[in-house]
Amino acid sequence: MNARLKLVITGILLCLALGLTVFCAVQTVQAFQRFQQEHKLAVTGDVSTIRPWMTVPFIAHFYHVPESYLDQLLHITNDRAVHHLPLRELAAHVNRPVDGLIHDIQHAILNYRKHRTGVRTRAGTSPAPTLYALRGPHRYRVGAGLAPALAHTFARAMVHSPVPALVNIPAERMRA
Amino acid sequence: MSVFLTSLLNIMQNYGYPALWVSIFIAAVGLPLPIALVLLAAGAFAALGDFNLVLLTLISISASVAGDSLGYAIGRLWGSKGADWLDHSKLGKRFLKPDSVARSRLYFKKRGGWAIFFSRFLVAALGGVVNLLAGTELYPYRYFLLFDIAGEVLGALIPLLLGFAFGASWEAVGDILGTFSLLVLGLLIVIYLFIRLLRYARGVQKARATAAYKASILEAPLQSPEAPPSQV
Repeated sequence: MNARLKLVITGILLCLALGLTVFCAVQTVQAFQRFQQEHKLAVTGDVSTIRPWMTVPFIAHFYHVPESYLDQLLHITNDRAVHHLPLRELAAHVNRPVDGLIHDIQHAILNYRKHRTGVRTRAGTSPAPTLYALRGPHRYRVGAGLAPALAHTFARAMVHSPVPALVNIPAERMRA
Repeated sequence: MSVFLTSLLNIMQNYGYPALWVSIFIAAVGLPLPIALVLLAAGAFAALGDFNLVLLTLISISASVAGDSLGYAIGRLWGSKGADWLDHSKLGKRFLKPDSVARSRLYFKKRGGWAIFFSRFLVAALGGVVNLLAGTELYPYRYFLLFDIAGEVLGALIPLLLGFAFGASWEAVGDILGTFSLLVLGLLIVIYLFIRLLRYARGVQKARATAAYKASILEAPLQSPEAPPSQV
């Protein structure tokens, strides 16, 4: 192939690759911002952060609600296989849409918080499922060692590092 | 989140470590499973106490290394034979120059280790292809294993610790990892193309200079009024 033609084709490919790289860079920054906003909501115990992959024990631990309370709400027996199903699978199991199930759980958690005085909410305290607030047995059963300490340091750096605001994602959109 | 990922998480919750080992092994051989996301989720569940983080790390590394080794073996057994056949066939000779094949083998022997290492955690999508390529290019297995284990340690620890640290936000962390991986891939392509462009530009410049020199030599006798004494 002619050397000049090779030069032109490579130049065009380089321009395309540069465009793709810039696009990926913007996407990465936006993903980082989304993460920071979502993590903020999660830290404050916002029930809008409940996701279809979560299991009942995970929700109970994360939102400080007794497992038995959620079990009662969802009519779940003590069967481990059912108990540890993600919400999406659980919804299929009980023949309900997953969004409806999540909605019910969100209301139940909010009701529980409203009616129970002195319930510890996330606002103003450390986040629970993250390393900051693994209190009690978890902190030492799972988290002892160098690796979780490194994760802790990295987590702090990631959450508190400033990222230039390319886009502002409204809170309503985040919740949606 | 895809239904497929939820199903994988469901299997992981129900069957525990063996299911996780099999999933990671299959992904390491080359099947496109979202294993980084599964590891992030496993880390999140480990923070809850459902899994043990150390055991998860060991299982992840062992399954990945076993799967990568199988990919390497497939490449070595069938890939190298295929490459040899292509090397000697008419079709291969038509499209591939023998010296370019030898050059690529030499290049992989020199730099292949880094490709193996970085494709374990930085550009994980290329992992399966790199395993096959390493086997096909007859890259020494002991070096392959060394770079593979080193890369897989990072490849297991990064998602597990991030999942462990961020719990419920692991999906957002997965997004960051995915886009960052694409960004690195884009940067590598840009660097490669930039180097090629410089080489081609130099080649064009050299060709121009040679052409100008030739032209000046051809024009030189016409311009000189006297012939050199030796020719008289």
